[in-house]
Amino acid sequence: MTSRTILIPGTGGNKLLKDGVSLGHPVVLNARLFLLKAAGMSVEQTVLDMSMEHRPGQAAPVKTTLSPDSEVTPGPPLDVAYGKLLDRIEGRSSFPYDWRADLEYNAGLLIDYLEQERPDAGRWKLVTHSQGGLLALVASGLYADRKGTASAFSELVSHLCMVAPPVYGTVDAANALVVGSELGDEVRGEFRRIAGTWPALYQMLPDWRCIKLPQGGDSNLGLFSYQTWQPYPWVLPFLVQRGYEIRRKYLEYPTQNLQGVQYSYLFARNQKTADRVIASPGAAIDFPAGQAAGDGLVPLDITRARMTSAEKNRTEVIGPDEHTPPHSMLLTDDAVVTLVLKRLEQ
Amino acid sequence: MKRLLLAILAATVLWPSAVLGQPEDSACDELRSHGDVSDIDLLRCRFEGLRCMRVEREGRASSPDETSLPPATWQATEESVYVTCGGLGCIDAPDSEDPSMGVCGTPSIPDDCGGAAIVGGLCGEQHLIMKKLPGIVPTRLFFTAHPIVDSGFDGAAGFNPDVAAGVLLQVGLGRSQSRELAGGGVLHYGFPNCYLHAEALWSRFRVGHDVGVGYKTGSSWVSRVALTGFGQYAGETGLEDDNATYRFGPAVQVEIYFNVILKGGWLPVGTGEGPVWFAGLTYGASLLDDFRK
Repeated sequence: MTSRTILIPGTGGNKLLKDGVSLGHPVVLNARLFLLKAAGMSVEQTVLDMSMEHRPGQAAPVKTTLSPDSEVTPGPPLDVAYGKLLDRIEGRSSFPYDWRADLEYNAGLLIDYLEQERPDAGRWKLVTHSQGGLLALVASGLYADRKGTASAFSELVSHLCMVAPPVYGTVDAANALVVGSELGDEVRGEFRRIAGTWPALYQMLPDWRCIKLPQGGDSNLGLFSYQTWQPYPWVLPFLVQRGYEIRRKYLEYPTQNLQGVQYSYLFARNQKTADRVIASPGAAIDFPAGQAAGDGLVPLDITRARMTSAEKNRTEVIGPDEHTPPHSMLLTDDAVVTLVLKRLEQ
Repeated sequence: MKRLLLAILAATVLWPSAVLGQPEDSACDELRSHGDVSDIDLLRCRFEGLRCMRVEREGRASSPDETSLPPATWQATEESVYVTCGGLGCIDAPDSEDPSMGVCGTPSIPDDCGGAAIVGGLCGEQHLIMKKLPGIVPTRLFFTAHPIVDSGFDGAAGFNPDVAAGVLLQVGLGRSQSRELAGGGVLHYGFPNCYLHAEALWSRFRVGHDVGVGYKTGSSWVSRVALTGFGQYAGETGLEDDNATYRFGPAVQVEIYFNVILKGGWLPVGTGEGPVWFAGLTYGASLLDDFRK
């Protein structure tokens, strides 16, 4: 075997298992939370199940769930999001990971996997979606550090096709921490408590001047400033700090350790996408409806503006009038899947 | 494109001559005369200190303990790196207050190389020009489960719940196009929105076919709709039933959130009493895995 293709899913793209049993399809999980809340029953167990615990200075989670005597581990990818791609990958190979956890921690696990399962006399071809792309980029930096050369990752990986990676962050990560409506308005308070314990969300905060003042103009603060998060006690300062460190260490020049890897980006610009928030220093953050071009989560123009010219040349964009699905479901589109697989052939 | 080609041409032409040690000015000749001098030193001799151009790169977010955003960073232009500087980086000019003005020098960060990788102390990576796609012909094949009800075989009111297995094939009608983007990269457009939709299903009580045209809406909740011609051969007690009939007519399918397909049809044509209506849903068998523990 000369090469092997593997999918690295995005946030929520694979199931989480509590003591080996699925915590539920997102639809079922949402429905359960909604029904429990509507019936006046406690959703505390779900909050405990989905929450993590970390300590400063340690990438690995102290606890993967706050439920006593339990452990949450990654499960198989969701077929509804990735079935069409997996059907066209030999062995339906994927790298499931705990998408709530620290990127560097997961990148270490990814490297271990790529080394241990490496195809005989061959290299990997990686297809990543969303956070999965960040995982690959962080892994390339981590591996370069370990081996002492910027081309180290190419010993393991020949191709890397990143579908809609939020390379410079996404406003949706801030929205999840502040508003918490991902699981529906009924349980937004509970979701915020859960989301505040997930390092990955902090590490996907926007890395551009996205805070606008109510009276107009840019704020001097960013989403990695402590002052920005003062109104939100469930946002943990050491995780904000960690998010900043990950960005600076691995994602300031995201492709610098991909020497020798045939990498490419695929983005879309056919959905309205948030690229800004509105807040005065120390005041609550408001999230206006997205108006920028993107895939619904990753704003394209801002991402391209941050790219180096070499990265731009390796970027493919789905046009503004296309009927491809939004970010989370991009790989349900046969055309996108075909595009990705062709890229791996080059 | 012209600039990119120029840059690559310059990199190809200038690099070998410089690296092989053929700079023309006398200072470099003198350096060369010392014998044991590296190729990079010769390159620096020729290009280092020359003026080059930088462009603004978007500023970054402030760190947690900063109260204001840091200034924007600057990035070398491709032309600077590969033409003006012959493969050296274009770094900040210490004697100029204009941040867009740089000088050729040693690359230290990718920005100094216009984003290219640093290889052996030089800006080394040539830019990739991606091949255009020959076109996209998407397909999908679903093995499906079909909970289905119909009005009965005599056309009178009544429900005949049934679960059928099936195969659904969708083939995109059309080919996408692509063009180069200003600043680099490729834009893809004209993805097919219409699909040939062909489905077969069977159960103990029926054998059915469903052929038509699907349309990808671009919306999430109603992700696809299809108009089809649906036909079924069905018997009340099974396919061997002496009173089994064949009915045919138009059907509508609506795919919800890329997942479940709701369908309904009216079958006025065929043998036996009619018309017959039916309703049901189609679900990809592999999707059921998502719900398993």
